[in-house]
Amino acid sequence: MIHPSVLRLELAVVGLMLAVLLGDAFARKASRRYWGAAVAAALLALAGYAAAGAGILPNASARVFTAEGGFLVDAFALWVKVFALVATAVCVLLTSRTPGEDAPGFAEQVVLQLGVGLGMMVLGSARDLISFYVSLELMAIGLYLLVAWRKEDPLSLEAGVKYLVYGAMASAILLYGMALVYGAAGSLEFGIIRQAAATRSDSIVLLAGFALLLAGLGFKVSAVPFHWWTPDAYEGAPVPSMAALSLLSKPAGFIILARLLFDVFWPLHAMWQGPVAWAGAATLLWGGLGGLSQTNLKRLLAYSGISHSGFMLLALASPTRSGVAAMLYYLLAYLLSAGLVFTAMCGAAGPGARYDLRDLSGLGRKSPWLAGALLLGLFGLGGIPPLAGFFGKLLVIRCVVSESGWGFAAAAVGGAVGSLYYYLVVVKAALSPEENGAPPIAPVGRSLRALTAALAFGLLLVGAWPASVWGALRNAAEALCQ
Amino acid sequence: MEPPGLNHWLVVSAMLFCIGAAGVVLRRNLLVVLMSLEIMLNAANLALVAFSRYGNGLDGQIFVFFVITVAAAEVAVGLAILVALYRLCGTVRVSDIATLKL
Amino acid sequence: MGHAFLLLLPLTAFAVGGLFLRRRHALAATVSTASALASAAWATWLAWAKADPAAGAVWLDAGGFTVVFRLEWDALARLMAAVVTWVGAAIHVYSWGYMRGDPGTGRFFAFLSLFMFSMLGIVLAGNLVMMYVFWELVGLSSYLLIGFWHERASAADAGKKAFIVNKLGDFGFLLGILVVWTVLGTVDFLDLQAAAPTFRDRLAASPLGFLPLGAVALLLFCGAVGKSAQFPLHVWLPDAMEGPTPVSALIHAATMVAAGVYMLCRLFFLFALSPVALEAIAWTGGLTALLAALWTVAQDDIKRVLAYSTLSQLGYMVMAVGLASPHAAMFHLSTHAAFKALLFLGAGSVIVALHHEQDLWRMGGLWNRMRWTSVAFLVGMLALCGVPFFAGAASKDGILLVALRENRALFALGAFTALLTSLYMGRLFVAAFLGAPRGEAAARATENGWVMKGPLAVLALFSFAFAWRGGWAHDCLATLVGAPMEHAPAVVHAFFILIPLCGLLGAWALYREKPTDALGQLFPGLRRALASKFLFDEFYLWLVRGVQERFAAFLRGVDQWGVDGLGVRGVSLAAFCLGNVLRCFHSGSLQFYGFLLGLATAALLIFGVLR
Repeated sequence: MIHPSVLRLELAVVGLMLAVLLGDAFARKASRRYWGAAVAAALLALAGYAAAGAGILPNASARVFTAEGGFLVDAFALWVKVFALVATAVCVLLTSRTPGEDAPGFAEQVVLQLGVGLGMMVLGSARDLISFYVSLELMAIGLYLLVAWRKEDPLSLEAGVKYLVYGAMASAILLYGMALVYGAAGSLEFGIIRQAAATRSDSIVLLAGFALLLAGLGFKVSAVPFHWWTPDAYEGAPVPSMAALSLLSKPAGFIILARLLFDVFWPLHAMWQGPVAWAGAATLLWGGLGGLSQTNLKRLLAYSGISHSGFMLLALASPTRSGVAAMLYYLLAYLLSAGLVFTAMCGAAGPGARYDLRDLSGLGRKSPWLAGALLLGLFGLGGIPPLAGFFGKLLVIRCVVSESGWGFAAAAVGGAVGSLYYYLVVVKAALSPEENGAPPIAPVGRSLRALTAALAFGLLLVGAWPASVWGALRNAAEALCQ
Repeated sequence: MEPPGLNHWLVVSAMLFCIGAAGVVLRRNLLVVLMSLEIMLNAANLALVAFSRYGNGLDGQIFVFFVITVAAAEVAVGLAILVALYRLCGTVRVSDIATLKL
Repeated sequence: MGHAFLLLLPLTAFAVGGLFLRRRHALAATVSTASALASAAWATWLAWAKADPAAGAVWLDAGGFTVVFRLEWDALARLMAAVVTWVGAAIHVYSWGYMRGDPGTGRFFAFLSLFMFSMLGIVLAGNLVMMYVFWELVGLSSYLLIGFWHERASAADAGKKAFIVNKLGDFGFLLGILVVWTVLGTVDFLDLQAAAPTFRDRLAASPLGFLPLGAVALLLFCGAVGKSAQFPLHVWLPDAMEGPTPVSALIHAATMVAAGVYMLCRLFFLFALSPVALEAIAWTGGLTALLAALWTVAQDDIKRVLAYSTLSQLGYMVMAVGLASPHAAMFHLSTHAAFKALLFLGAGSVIVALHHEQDLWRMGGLWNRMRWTSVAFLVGMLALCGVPFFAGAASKDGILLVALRENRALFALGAFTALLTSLYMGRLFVAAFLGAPRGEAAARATENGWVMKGPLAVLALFSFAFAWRGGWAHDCLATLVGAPMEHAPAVVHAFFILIPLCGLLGAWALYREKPTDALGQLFPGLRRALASKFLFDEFYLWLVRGVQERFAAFLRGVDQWGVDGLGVRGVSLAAFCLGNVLRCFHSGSLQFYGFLLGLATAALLIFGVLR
């Protein structure tokens, strides 16, 4: 019997989903003006509650299991929940700008985003293969719909189909890996699988299952060579869904990857370290180079996202707590900077926009606020100090130098310079004089302003004073690597 | 003739998995591609049930129920997107959806 | 105590100006200028009182490696802080006049304050990580200021180029920092200095043992190559003249480009470990000095003349560091900051008076129309040429003396560069200020107001040698030098006097009353060769174009950036090529993706099982 109080955060999100659905059925149109803001505020309040420990954990090193052991709350899981709640709030606020709160289907879209966020929250606590698989699919199915959301737009549908087929194939591979791991270990529980990995590390079935699990997660985090879907899905998806892809789905992939590598399959770490590092370097360079001659902002951001995945993989490839903590810090920096970029994009164009770079022309003149957010976000992604992205990169490269070696560090710095180049291309496009045909901009609303201000403040705070979050991240990393 | 053992089931499931994967990669109609995906999932289910039957307790079979449920949801979503695609573009051929590239 | 105010003052001015005063130009300018003046006064007081900064606070404690936020205030930092704040303050005041009426004035002053903040951060940084953070911030604010008139494509491109070329240098710098950090386990300058003697052994014992010591030093030097625009990363500095003239004066003459030299001096104890690295540094500096001086002789744009001359002078400083005398480098850095800022502001004054005419050969006769500016410019010029009693003489002769003692070849190179320096400066002065006006704008030019004349006067004062010989600046320098400045035999002194004299007289003879470039008319081939910067650009461009046509399919969409150096261009070309090859995999075909996924999975499976 699972004690419901352990699940209080998840239950609260479910309650919120129900409230939005019911509200949609009964509320009049005129009363919907601040729905997005209200949902986001509720999510942020929950995030604050979770950050304060949520009354579940007596101290940072405690671990609370449910009776069956399939659900675990520790400092790591709690941090994941905070992250998921904040990222979901960002996505919901973006949705309330495009397509807007009075657009048909707004409530459903919000419910789906809440579901994706819920999936990530459960995933952080997953302690057996069933909760792992179900929560991952909870996210994936919601995202298939969100990517294909604009059903009057062939590109959105195409992106949805591609993401669905590719994602389902990857999840079948993942599932097959789970079946093999289950067969080799004799149990679905992570604890027992860990024992099996320690005692029977030469079992071919176990190793094959592990390899398939990594392949399936490689899709989630868009690691080379499993990343083929990323640019197409990003380009076709509406911006809020793109935000959900990169702020929820990808971090969730990294979270469960960290759980698998540093907890469940830790006994095999001498085996996975090399491949993860190589995949990280390849991912980083692919993302850094592939984006160089892109002319579409969404596609460019997809490559940028791939390059960031490479950085986080490299962080995971250094099998120490510092590696995990650096990865968590990097994720946070990515959330803040990419969030700013997505916010600026949502503000700069309406729902059907293609976001070719030249459509951005004149943004600096038309809306200095949005242009500033875009600039700050891109500099954050590029790792310009004192923004958080800089310390993220520095910490990762520091880990890489001491654990993976010199060549990987050089690749990391090189990839960072490459991607910085294309961020500057975007900046130049946004600051160039207006061309004919660039779309007009609706006034920036209050909630969007608040969102940009909050994200920018966070980006500066976390960057200029890393100690403000470092303690929490370190606790999370220590909870993971027990 | 000896009765089929764990390895036989595993071989069958691996073959099913490969057939499914080949279907996804080779078939031209998106509906068939979706069916092939189902075959891949069911191959995994078969492996789970086989492991469960040969000595690993009932956990695996419970897992299979979850997988079946999830797969149903996935197919529902997939079909919904296919219907929308067919209404808008009049096609469900894989080769027709290659606008997003490079 | 209170050293943090030096950082907080400009930071506050930036935050206030950037957030609230973008439209209220006068107020933004006041706030920014007040902060610059206040930090100059405060820095002087702190330097005079020799106050010690407070102990640092833990900034980042990432398990195993800790970074402490600590401010440095030794003689080196004091001298540099004084130079930066005073030159900065003068330029803030001057900008009131220069930027009058520009619609972006508020933004301009906010960025200026951001720059002051970052530059002072480099000066005060107590460890490598802090220095790198501010190093990057300086790059960022320079990017923002060069591209200040961002609606002009050339300005936006120049900003981007400066940023990326600097990034290439920083790439090496960061790697160097990481190696030092990994090997010595600390980034704090004091700890590093204490641990430096063991560096060679600990490096050999570490996993990075395959790296020779010289390579590590050269990695760190990369940072200075980028920031101080040394050959072959010099290409960004001349383009950076697209920014407003006060920015050129502040960033690209007096402070930012000096940051590289400052870093070399700050970390000299590391460079000193490797004679090979010092040799390479010295030759890089010497080569930059000579090449830039040669190119300057054929420049026609007044700002570009000064830009190339800056390159050349930076080469001197780097050469001095390479010859193991960082004090000589710092001395020249300080005097150069004063007189080069003076020259740039003088040029800016001319440019404003001539309604943004920058071609030397359309000026002329300004001596009579703009006496104040002309006298100030003359002082700056004499200082740059190294005429006795002016600041440049003391500092440049110091470097040449060191070269005479350490390396005769470099001495010859440096002396020839000095001759060229006085030649091109004489050319500039003769063409712009003497003779008859050659353009309509020049004929109607009038002197600017006091806001622009005042800073010129202050900087002119600092261009005299006595300003550096007495009082507090001398104390700072003496601490740095450790020994009195060297005394040379009389014959060497005579030689040093002869050099600028020859150059200036040569320029007078060549260019007097000439409507166009006289040297160019005498030796058109020579002029073409010099103006082409020895065809480096064209050769690279031709090479690149030939390759491009062959691989046109891959190279579609490659735009023309960084054509100036094989390093920059080659790397970018390779990156674009590879990027486009990688893009080809994203064919848009769902089933191809599925196939690749299956292939990758199979490969991973085989790897996992067989291993």
